[in-house]
Amino acid sequence: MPELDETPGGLPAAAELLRVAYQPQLAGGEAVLCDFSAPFRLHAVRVADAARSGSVAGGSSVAAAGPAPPAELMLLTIPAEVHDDVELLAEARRWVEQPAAGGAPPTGGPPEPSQMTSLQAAQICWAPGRIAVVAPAERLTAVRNAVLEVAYFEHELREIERQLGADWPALEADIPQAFAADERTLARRRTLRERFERVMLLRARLARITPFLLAPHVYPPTLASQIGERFRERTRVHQRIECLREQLEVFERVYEMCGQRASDFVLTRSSNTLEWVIIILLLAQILLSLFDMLPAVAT
Amino acid sequence: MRYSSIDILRTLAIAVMVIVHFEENLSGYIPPIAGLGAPLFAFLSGMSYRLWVQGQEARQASDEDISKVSIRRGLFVFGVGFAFNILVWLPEDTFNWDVLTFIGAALLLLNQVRHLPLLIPILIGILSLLLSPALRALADWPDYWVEGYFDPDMTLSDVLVGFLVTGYFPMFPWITFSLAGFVTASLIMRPADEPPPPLRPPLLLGAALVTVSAIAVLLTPYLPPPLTRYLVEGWSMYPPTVPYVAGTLGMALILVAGCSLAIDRNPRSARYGRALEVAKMFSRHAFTIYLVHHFVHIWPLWIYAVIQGQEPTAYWKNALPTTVSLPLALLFLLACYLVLRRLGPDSRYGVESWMRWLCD
Repeated sequence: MPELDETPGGLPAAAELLRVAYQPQLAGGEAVLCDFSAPFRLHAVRVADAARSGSVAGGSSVAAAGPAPPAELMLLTIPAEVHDDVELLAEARRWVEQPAAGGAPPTGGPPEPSQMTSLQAAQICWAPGRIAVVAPAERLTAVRNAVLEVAYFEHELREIERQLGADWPALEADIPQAFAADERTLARRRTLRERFERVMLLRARLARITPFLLAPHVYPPTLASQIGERFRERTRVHQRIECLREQLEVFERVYEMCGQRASDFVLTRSSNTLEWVIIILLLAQILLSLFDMLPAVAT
Repeated sequence: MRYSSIDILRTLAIAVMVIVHFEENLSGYIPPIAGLGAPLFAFLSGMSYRLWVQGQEARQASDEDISKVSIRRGLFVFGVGFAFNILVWLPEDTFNWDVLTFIGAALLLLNQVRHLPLLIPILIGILSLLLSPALRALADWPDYWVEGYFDPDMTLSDVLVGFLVTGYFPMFPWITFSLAGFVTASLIMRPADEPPPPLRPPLLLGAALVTVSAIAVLLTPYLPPPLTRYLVEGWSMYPPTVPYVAGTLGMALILVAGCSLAIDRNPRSARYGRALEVAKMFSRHAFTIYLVHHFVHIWPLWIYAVIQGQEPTAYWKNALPTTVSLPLALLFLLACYLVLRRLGPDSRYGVESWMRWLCD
């Protein structure tokens, strides 16, 4: 039984375990695995394990300038000329399905069952946060880069779903304030604004990745484009994006209304205060006049 | 949420009033602490109302229910005030506008004010304070007071003017205390789930008011007559002058903020548990103690005079020397303590329980 997060035993010597992080900017010295095309401006870089820096299988050193970013994806690449080696695939699958160090996959939540995709002599076994690629050596880099790209977008989608799911209880608690605001709403205005900003940020993140996730099939197809398409189909991105859009709309509507109600309340209160000030001053004037008239009335 | 600081201050206010009333009514001696208990009592009534409303809102009571109970409580205290005037001060003093009728009327006003932005009660409080001298001048305040006592004609205008300006505790300027208490509680005593607001502003404001009041009192002999007639009339409770109201209001603010800091927000205050328990007992029965202490020291005077075939008020202010009246006041407070201790700290007896039964 291999140790957690180590290259499993029984694999070819050329098998390599990559801990991958996605960085918008390169600090210099990182081992760049692939660059994303515009407008993403992201780089998939190999990061060292904080505990065992430099001891990654395969022996290639990872230059680390400063503290290494946390790995977002664990990728196991296995060069194999025989693409239907059952034992090899079973071993790869076992590795994908085993829980990550710490007991939970990098995406959080319970471990999910793995899925196997076979394309042009390349076998890809994947689960959230863990992917194993078995392919001929000459195709391995192309397959790895395609997997890294599509895994990033799927990870983003999953992350948006996770954050929205975590925010549901707060949303339900905030719904009454979308109908009417009072002094307590004003006290919570900052929290509501932060939640609204978070929702808008999630919407922006979704809008940013949607063009890739909903891109039509490429013709003529390449191995890389087919991997992306197959991955998207298997992960049901169409339906998930549709659901996310609807959910984000609910969030957006509730927090927009909260903001509107709070703003209306502040405006109304200012106007009411001014009216009351005028009324109080008029009452004071009437009172003084009454007391001025009182001696005459009394006699 | 119960604030021990309010219990302590209410106990202090009621103790001051008991001592002052015993000495004044039995011996005709007005101790130096006279005039400090009633402002604190009125201020705390505003604070208590605000805290009660906060508690009702926390229990999800509807606005309508809060209003109904507030009005019923206000009318109850107002009615008890009249009954008290008739029973203690005899029927000819029904409309002397003592502190209970004032607190009842203040509760009715506070019920309206609680819906408004805090700026409005602050404005009403300031106007009430600053307009009072002018209103007293317009009403000719000295005409209503004979030999130091409020003595109006039984006419509608006199009764109304007494309620508003010339009585013992008229709405102007006494409502300033209740409104100030209401605003203070709104600002410094927030629900437990909110961070505690700073206490420095009320402390500084209180100190400023006391300082301004002291300066005004010191300067009174040197000020021109229009100013002393309409704004700075020296230190006096009857009529409640601007320096008196400002000074006692400042004192109340300092006491509330100081006690809040030393007791409510002090994690080590638990070691004063026994003292806080006593304060809680007195505070919960302050209304009853206020009524009872009058009955126990005024009625014997009336009864003894009638038995002697004299006017009921014949022995008022000259029945006993102050060396006896002061120990009697302390004895009364001790008796209250013993009775309340026997009843227990969480007991609900007296006028307060009647009010809850009738109004809540």
